Amino acid sequence: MTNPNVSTVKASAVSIQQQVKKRNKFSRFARSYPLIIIGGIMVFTLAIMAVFAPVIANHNPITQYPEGLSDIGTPIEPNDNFILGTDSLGRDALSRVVHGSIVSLEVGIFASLISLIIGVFMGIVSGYFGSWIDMIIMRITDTMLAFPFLLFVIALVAVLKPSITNVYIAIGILGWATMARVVRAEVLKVKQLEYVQAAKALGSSSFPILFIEVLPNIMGPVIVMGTLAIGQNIMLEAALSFLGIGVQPPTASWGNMLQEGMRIYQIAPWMIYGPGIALIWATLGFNLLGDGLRDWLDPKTGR
Amino acid sequence: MFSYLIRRIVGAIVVLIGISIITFIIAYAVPGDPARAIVGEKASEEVVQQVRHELGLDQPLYVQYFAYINRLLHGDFGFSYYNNQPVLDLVLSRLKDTALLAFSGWTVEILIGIPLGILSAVYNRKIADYIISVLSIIGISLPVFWFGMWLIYNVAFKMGILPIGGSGSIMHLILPALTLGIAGAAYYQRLVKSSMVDVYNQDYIRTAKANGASPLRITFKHSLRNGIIPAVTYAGMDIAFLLGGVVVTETVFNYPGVGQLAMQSIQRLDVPVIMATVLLAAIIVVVVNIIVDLLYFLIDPRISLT
Repeated sequence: MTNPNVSTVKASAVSIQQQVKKRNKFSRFARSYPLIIIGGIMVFTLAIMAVFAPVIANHNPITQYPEGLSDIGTPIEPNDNFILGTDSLGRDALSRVVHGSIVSLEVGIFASLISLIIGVFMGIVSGYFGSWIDMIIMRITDTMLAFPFLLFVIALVAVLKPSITNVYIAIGILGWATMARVVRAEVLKVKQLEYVQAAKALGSSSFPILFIEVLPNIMGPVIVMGTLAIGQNIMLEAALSFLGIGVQPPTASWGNMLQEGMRIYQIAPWMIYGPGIALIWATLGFNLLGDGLRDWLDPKTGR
Repeated sequence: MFSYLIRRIVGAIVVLIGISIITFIIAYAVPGDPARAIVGEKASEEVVQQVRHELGLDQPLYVQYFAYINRLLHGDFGFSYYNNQPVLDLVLSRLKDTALLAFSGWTVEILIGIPLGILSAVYNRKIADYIISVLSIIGISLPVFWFGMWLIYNVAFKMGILPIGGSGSIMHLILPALTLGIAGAAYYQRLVKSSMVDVYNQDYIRTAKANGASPLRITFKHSLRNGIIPAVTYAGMDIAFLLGGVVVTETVFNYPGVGQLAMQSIQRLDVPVIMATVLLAAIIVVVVNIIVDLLYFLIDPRISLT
């Protein structure tokens, strides 16, 4: 006589084993690639901050609160009501920092996507077709890389008129050159591989080969560069807004908050720290995540 | 060697032509109407047409481009809309201060980055390496302008040991140079570390160790020369980074250089000055890169320049 419970006990033992295995796998992964976990958590908190900004912020970011200024009209230092203090117009710094994450992520992601798309296209075409196409594209790349990037972006945004959209368009269309070079180098490696040669021999035409055979095999470096680019572009947007040619007030951006902090740091030093730490958190998060992904996806070139 | 040099220079000329086309497009094709900008909002349409004709703006674009190149080749970078001075004079009068700042920033990068890189390679995967690596990734993630502000607030304002801004003495240079150099120092640290670690794994280092060479001798006599080569190549890209960084640094520290001029010109929409600074910066980058390539050859004779 068999006990019907035995099979269920066995089954649950198996599922526990599987869970333990899964957890072991995860903890092994976390131990091998701690940067992915740390960076990932930092980026995730940033995303949460942006998505739930209206819930997290306990004030309206652009309202000028009368109680946000002292009797003589100076900003108020951090207290229970205004946790990160107020700025010179009596606006709540915490709410502005939280809402600033939306601008940062928007610019960081869209700018990186634009340069990613242009860079991957240029790199793939250049590396795959070679000869004069390669030569022309690489000369264009050299030219783009000769410009000091920050100065180049500043000049383009200035003539396009400062706005969020123009900031990420300018960063995006000027920032693809490094990506193109990396992708080209990868394509040169991949196109020698047997399966690409086989596809060619079977008579596939160039574009299907490029996008079905080559592209998926160069995604590792592309993901790494894309992640690092988001961090750099967040920093760039902040620099542009700090210089007064990025996101325009009253829209909150960490850069234009810091611009104000620069003006009033003698009476309101907290205006340096709130947006500054948020900005470093964001760039550090993406940099750690990018470095971690590089260690994982591309172990040879890792540190 | 000679044929390499020729090819390198031809390549550089192609890039310079590309640079001039891009600056021309941004300067002349994008903004509304330079003629209107010169004569002002109130001038009549006739006057605008007159100025447009005088400037050749009614000509086809390619004619305008060749006129622009012709002027550039004669050292004529145009006149500032704002104070009607030749742009080149304006820029050159500030170039010395900017060069001094960029050089100081570079010195900070080298003095901090290379020793830390060597240190973290020698103590690879030990506690010193981990501490340096953490500092380094923070350095890379630090926004230049924020770090400048932080230094101004803490070192200049609160402690009062260094001036808040301006120029004129070596004391004025310390904070801006640190601000400009800290991120670059982190790049050099990573670069030197990874190439030194590669070198340590080479056979000839193992041989030197087996022969009883001391760790110090192995590091400085056998490894450093090869380990430092990638850092030299990076110097070429670094110049572009430094020239971008000076714009922010000079603005934060109110330092009277070309970067500050560029920012002021942007606020005044003084397009000829903006474009001349961008163009000159790019030319400097191209020239420095050629020099770096040649240095590269001198340092590492294994590289054949054919």
